[in-house]
Amino acid sequence: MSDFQIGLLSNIGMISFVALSAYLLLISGAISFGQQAYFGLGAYAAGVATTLWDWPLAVALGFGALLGGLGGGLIGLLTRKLNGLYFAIATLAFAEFTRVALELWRYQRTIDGELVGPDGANGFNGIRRAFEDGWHPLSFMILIWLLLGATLLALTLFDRSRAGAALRGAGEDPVLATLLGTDVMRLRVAVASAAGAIAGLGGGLYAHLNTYIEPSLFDVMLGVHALAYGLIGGLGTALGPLIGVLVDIGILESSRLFQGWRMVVFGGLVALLLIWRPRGLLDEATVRRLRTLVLPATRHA
Amino acid sequence: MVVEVLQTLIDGLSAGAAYALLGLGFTLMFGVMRRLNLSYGASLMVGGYLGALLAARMGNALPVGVLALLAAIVTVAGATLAGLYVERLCFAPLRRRSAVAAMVSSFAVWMQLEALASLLLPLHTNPYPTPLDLAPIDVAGLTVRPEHVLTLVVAAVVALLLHRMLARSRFGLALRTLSDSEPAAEAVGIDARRMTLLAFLLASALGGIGAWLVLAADQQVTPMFGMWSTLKGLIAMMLGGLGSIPGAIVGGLLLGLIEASGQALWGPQVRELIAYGLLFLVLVVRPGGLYGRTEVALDLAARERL
Amino acid sequence: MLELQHVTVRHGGTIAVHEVSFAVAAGELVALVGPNGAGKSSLARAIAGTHRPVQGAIRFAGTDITRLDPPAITARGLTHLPEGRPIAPTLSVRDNLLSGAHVLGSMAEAQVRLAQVLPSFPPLANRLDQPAATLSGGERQWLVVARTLMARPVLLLIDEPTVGLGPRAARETLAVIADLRTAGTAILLIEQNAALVLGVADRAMVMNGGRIVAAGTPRSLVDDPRLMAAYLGAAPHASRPLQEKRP
Repeated sequence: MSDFQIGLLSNIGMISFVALSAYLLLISGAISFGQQAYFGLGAYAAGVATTLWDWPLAVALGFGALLGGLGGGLIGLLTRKLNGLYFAIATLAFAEFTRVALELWRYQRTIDGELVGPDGANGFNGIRRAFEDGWHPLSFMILIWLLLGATLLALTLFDRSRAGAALRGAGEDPVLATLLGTDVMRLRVAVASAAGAIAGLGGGLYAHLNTYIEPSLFDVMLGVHALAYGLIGGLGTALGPLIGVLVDIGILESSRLFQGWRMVVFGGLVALLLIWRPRGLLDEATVRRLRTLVLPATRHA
Repeated sequence: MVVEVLQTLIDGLSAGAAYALLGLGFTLMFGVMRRLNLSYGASLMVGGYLGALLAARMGNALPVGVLALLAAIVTVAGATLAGLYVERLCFAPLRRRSAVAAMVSSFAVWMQLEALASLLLPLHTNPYPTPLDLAPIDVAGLTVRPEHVLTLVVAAVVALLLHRMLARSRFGLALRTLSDSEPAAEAVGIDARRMTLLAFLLASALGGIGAWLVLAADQQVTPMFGMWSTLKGLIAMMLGGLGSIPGAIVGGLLLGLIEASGQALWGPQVRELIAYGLLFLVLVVRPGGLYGRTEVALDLAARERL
Repeated sequence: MLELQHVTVRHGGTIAVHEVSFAVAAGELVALVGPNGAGKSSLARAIAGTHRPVQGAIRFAGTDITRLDPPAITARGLTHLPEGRPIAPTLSVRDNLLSGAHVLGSMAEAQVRLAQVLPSFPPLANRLDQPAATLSGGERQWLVVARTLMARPVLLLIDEPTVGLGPRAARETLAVIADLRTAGTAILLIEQNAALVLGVADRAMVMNGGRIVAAGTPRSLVDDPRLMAAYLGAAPHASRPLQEKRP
């Protein structure tokens, strides 16, 4: 496997975390333009943990996920009463606030004669723990995909569970869901936490693979892209966002086909796709149909 | 001390006047379809780039005043055409369908327009023609830039004309009715689809004028302009109250003042911090904004299934 | 004026209106009564253009309006007053009224029309500058009726005008509506409360289960057992199809 391919697959894997984060909120009926904030918080948290506090990599990654989860939960709590559009804008405001705050934040220490740590807009360099521990690009890529796989599995199991059905129900019709006994607000806050944690985990991985992060990476673009991936690939299954990422990064970024026209083509395709399939390629209806094809037992009389 | 405050006031109000125009555009669009047009800023950027392209190709052949005027026309026209494109592709086909899809579609087109602009003018910074290359005037210790005066005057005139149109014309009434209650508009025979298209054109033109004012003052246009103007317009609209026309104006001016104060006191980054922090606070505490509706009406309006 | 021929409308998965045919002449007040779920509202929506019939034709003032959109139909003089009584809550009463004249094409015309309509609605005249949301239920009703008049309707399609009104307000509303006939306006009145409307209607039709099961003058219908049956639950297919009552 070439370096390029490894890098590409790693990228696809890591961005999928943010995409899954946005997807989880989408199926609960909430549009978030701000999941990139938790990606960023996770990245910085994990980076600081290994570089400045000398924590083991695994713990640091967990810490990144934790911080992402806490952030997501907090914002989810503060915005729990907001609906639709207001929630979306609030998430955007928070994410931008976080990004600008990171541009102002300096936390540096001298370690081994070198000044390391987040340096505001200049970024955070030297997050080398993964490579110091002996990880290679290939093995790290495998790690990313193992963790991603675990996350996908967890999400898929959740989707099949009662809680998952309740969540989708709350997303479609919150009033009905409440009547049926779902505590929609509490569910939303819990989901916001989980989504934040997923993004945070991805962020930690990102920081350690690239060894350098800066606030401008975690901007609105990333957030809206994350949202778009779910809508392209389809909201019917956790694989949907992954497909969206594959289409964008995998096909278009890697093929030097379109050069400067890549975005023009991609943007137009997405717009057209959404007219045809507003809930994505693998939308709920399609997934149900596929399921009855694959598992005849689920076909209704 | 007083001089500094007044200076901040002037700087803030003139920036705010441009923001108000941006916010007005956003609000008009939101009012008729209850959705955010994420490529609003990008449409304005297209207009700006066309103006810069004009300057690049014909800048030497034309006198300054003529060039500036042509650039203004091209910018507003370009923004309007881009707005037409967005409405037809992203919003008209998804009218009674998924609002998320429409907004993400508009985001995709934002990417498209940004890429197109970069193909037109590959440099990051592109000079934009200005009508007034005059030095700032000193008035009793205050620095008054001609661009600021121009912005304030133009914005005020535009706002007044808009107000008159909305309050007195048949089209204005139809627009206000549709923004207030789509069922009521339907009941009286207002064609919501046609109205949405016209509102888009008007909003894009307004935004185009706001963009022209900003670009003429900055004397340059960059690819970041799309994101920048979208966010400014969005914040102005939210501060004043989603969907409220006077709110957008107040919100824009307020944003300008807050930014100017923040900048004066703590520097440019804190300025941004305050803007976003304030927006978040407003949403959490009083989602209706300053002029917004009461909680109940708000809930109904925002509860639409996305 | 208005002519329906074999109009069939689907609602969800079922057929809500089955091959309905009738006509309304200028200056006539025709009542369409029937119990809940009879298909009256679906029929109204088909006429107003919000819902396309799967079969049949609707002609209005000589034009085929079956496939037209609501704005086009309203522009031709067919005004629909839907059940929701939608108003623009933050706009003033005056603006709400003026918006009713949208189809007249100019603000000047609208102002003229407002001056013509207002005298019949004194409670509104006193509240012109208030936001419409501040009106009471009854006043809101008047607002909606007045607004409908602003369009100089040729045919008024009114869906459940007396819902939520007390008996006196209901009678007053119906009286105002009935008066419109003198101007030549045709009225198709859809109403669950058969007793109320039979008093003002020139003709009436009883709908049940998507079909017209009885029709005639109010006097002839009052004694018609099919009217009672429709409301008290005899299965629709049990009623025999429409038969003219011999005088």
